Amino acid sequence: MNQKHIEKLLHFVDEQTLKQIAENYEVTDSKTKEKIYQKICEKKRAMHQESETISETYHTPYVKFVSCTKTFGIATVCMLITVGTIGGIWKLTRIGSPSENVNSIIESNTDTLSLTQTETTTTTQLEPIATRPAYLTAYLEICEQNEKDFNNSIYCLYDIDKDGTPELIIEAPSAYTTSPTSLYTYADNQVYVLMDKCFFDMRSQYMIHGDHLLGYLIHPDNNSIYYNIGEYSGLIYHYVYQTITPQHTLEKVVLTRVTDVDTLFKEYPYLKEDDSYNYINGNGYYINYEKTTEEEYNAFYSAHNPETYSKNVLDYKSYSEFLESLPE
Amino acid sequence: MTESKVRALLKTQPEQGERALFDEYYNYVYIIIYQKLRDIGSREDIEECVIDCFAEILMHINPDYDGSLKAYIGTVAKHKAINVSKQLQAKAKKQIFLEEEDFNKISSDENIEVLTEQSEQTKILMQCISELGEPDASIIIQKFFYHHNAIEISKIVKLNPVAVRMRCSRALKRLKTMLLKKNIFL
Repeated sequence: MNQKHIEKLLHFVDEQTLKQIAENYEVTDSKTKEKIYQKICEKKRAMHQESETISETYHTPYVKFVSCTKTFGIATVCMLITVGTIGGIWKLTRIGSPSENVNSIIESNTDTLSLTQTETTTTTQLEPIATRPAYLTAYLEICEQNEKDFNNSIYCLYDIDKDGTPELIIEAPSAYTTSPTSLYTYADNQVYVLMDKCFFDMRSQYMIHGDHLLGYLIHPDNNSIYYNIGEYSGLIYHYVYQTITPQHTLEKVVLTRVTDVDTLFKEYPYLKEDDSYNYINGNGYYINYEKTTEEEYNAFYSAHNPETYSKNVLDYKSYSEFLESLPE
Repeated sequence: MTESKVRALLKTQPEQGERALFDEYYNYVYIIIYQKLRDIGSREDIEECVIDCFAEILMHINPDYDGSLKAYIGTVAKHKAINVSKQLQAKAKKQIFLEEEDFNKISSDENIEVLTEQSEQTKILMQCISELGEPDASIIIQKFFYHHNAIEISKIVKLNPVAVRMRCSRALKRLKTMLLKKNIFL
């Protein structure tokens, strides 16, 4: 099927089709939508402030004085005309009416304020938990918010980069076979987000639903997270190593092996037009999507032998179990 | 949420009303602007235009306005997009003035007959896409209408990118079969 034709047909849609697409399909992901809304609010505030500034400019004391004088002058003229007209009519008709004394009674009612005794409630203040480390307090805020947004998440603390402070790993539930992962680290009195609900761009879609470990292996001694994954029946295979940098980011090294590029593009011809696969330049080995020699590839692979990684170090818990397991 | 509910919220709880208005018409405004700017502007230009459009609507909206809110919002979006399109065209020096010698050489390359046929095919294509069901239909629209890549699509449909690519491939095969049955060869 020629995909260019589909693009062309969808390019020249009429208004009715546009409405149909708008009603039935999302235009962006929720994060982008939220980002746009925040910017709209900022813009609206800026526009509001600008209009107030303009309003103030046109209401300087001098301008106010001139405008008041103008208004007063017009009001005086109107009053004189009105009085003159009434006087003239009265003179002509000689209509007189007894003056009425209007006694206005001003009653002032003051509401008596009754003072009621306010009930004082004593709240039992929780004593600060002196022993709870700062990172844990920070992580708990994240966990609490996450649990509100994604019920049934699972949580784990593990010191991945071996700096003495554990990282927080959260797997949020998903309707599909994989779960988005969030990874946080704590340093310099703040939390750094290393992964935010990330599907990890090469996760196996064949992972068994409910398998919490979800393919991550952690090195027990080194600062390293590892997973491997095959694409397109293993015609492309990746070994992915990630480390937490001193700048609190995730640095990734991807080893890729492409075994049969002819079959790959024959079975999946649309990959030729997909930018994500532009790096493929024949069969062979790649490090971070740049072609390399088999020797270099093997040297890196040996230095980071997947067999030295373990999947049993991550002890995921439900939210309630996680809270119970924390020190008081 | 219906228009009347959005209006009611705007009167009683303005902040929530504004959020409801945004949620209700975000897709609609985005698609109008996207359709106008897709050939000349970047994703950032489109997003910027969407932001400007909503900021203006929210600044000037009158909750007591009796007419169609959707029509009003659509009109603002369309005109904002046209303005931005003109600015971008001027920047890219894609404008040709009446006085220029080359003006008479410009002719429309529209073929009405071809356009009509394409319009019919588009309707059938949209119907077939919706028959694919979710998330395949969304994946096809995201890929071929919005030109999102697999990672962007994965965030929208909440699948991982590999699954997105696999589903896209299978969905295209199914789409081809469905279109062939309706005598459309692509």
